[in-house]
Amino acid sequence: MIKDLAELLVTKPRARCFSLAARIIAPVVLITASILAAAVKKESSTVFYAFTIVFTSSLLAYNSGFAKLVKGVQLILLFILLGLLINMLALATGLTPLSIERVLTGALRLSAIALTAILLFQWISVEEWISLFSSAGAEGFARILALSIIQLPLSLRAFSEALLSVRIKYGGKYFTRMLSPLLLHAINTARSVSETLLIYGPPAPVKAEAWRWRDIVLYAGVSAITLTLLV
Amino acid sequence: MSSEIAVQLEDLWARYGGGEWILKGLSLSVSKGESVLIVGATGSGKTTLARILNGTAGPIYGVEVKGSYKVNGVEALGLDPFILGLKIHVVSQNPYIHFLNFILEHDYRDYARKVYGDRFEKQVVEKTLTQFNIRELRHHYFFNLSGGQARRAATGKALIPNPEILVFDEPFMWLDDKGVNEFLDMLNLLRKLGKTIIVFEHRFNKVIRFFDRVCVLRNGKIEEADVPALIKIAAAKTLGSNPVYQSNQEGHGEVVLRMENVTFGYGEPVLSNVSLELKRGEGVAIIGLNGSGKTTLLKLITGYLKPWRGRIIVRGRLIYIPQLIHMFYTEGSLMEEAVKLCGSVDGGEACVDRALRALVKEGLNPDKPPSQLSHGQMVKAAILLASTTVKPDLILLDEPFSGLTYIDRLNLIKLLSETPSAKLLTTSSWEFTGLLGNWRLMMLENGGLKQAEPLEKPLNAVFSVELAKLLMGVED
Repeated sequence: MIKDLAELLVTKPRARCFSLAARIIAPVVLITASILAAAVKKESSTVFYAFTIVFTSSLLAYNSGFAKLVKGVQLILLFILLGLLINMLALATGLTPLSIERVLTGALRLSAIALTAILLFQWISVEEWISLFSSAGAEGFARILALSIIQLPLSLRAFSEALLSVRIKYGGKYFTRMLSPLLLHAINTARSVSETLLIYGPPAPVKAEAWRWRDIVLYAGVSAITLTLLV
Repeated sequence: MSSEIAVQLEDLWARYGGGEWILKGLSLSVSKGESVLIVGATGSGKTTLARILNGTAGPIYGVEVKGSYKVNGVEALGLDPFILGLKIHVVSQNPYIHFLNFILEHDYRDYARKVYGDRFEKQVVEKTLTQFNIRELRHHYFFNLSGGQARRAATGKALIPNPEILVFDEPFMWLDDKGVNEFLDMLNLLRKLGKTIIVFEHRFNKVIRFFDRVCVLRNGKIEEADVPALIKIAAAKTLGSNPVYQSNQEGHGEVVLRMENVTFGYGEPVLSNVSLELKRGEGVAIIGLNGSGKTTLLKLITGYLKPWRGRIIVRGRLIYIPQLIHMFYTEGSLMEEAVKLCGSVDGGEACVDRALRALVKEGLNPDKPPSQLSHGQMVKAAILLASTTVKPDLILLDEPFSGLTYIDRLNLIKLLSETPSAKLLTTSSWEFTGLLGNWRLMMLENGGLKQAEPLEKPLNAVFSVELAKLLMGVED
């Protein structure tokens, strides 16, 4: 599942059919609206989350294929489902004051945000992240971000290895200790990739496109979904 | 080979952050078109030297460097690593860190564009992909490549600027036997292309005859080895030795692992109807090429993965020692590791004492942070800590030989033969399997597990160890 998630987080060539501006604006608007909807607690937010999930899933399936999407999101959905089950159990035993609607809406919101965040990863390439932050005068941050994104798939695998060996080593105890080797691994990897950036040079800056005709479809979709919040 | 000097190191000194000098007045001259193998024990400074050669020792690792380092007669200390990379390119131990774009072809094209501009980018990339027979990998994600493929892809990328000199730092790390042979083919190709080649490697048995010269990095200096003379001495020492290490027979009988017709895969089946039984004290080595499903098999045994069909029964406690061995360690020192492990089994001071005594007996300092141990020491300490504290019924070792020197491999086999637990290890190389005495050897191929016989004679492994000892100046 971790391997599949790692593959899902990688930039997809098909993303280039929209302009860079549209690829940033659409997910950012959806994530922001999801967070705001939670804050204002509008009843129509359930519809908004449901539409967001359908919309982003369709775009993700277009990028990676439906089968890969299903495999990749298994882990995230598993966590959300677990959270949902725990809340339902708490609800049944009277341990939480939340209503069943709020518990379900919370799970929908998390799914919508997670899928939109994956879309952001698939749509914006490393070079584009670097260009964006460098043009905003944050070159150092751009470099750190690039290192993190490039190594993300390998870091997820290291996470799986640490999870397994530490869980078995201590017989299920001291679970949080696995953060220690992961931290060391991250530091070593970051240094190695910094070496690579020096040898091969940082990714070349890209020409940021602000508009493509196809963007209309994207903007129309996002607008329609966001408007459901006003119903 | 030309008489012109390609790389010249003179009175080179290097140290990390004001610590002890690692390189102490090292000098080396490599002629154009020459191929040189540099061997050295773990911690001898091979990687530090590789970092100096690619220009990143100072900027990234804060290494203080003194002396002279010239490439084609031009002083190279302090040069921009990107500029230096156009003349001398280092392919590091971990080939996966060479990529700055997920898709191989995109990564190549980005680099080619920086070196040649937009006009020749495509042409250069196509030539490199063809030359290194990696056209079929062009659309692959770099993190999905096997060890051998990643090494080939990293070397291909290094050749994009057509550097005259290529340096490989431990190129056999993570390579299976097929990958080693492919690497040798690649070295032959590079030689035909007239490249100057420098290789740092301690697994030298298969490659030693390829090189024009063999040098040893020892005590911070490099000296040339008289290989024919050393081979004679090593051969004499090998004859008359008793090389086979028997696995501990005590307690054979009780089954600790039973796999019955296990089938599993990721979309496509990786393992089909695999059955295996392992008894206490017994040792089984599973040999298979990279990607054959060895790690998957171990993860099924740990319960991390669930089989599609069949069943797996593990009786008692098990320990998993991963290939990324540093992922095993969670504490600041070996002593703290022992305390934590004893805490996990409610063992008292006696448990900690037992672990510390075992560590000291094997020459390991309990106060040392695990991160400062060599790869071989980390594997050894993991086995000692586990077997003296948790006392597992089954130890699973994923590729424990990968990255170990020949001497460390022999020590590991000795240690495992003295460990009473059942042992199941995976390896991607036949090297040293001849020393595994009464271990059961099994071959994992096309998803199936079958009995195997060692392809290497035990004396070959002993010869490698003896030659390594002579080269590195290690006493018996």
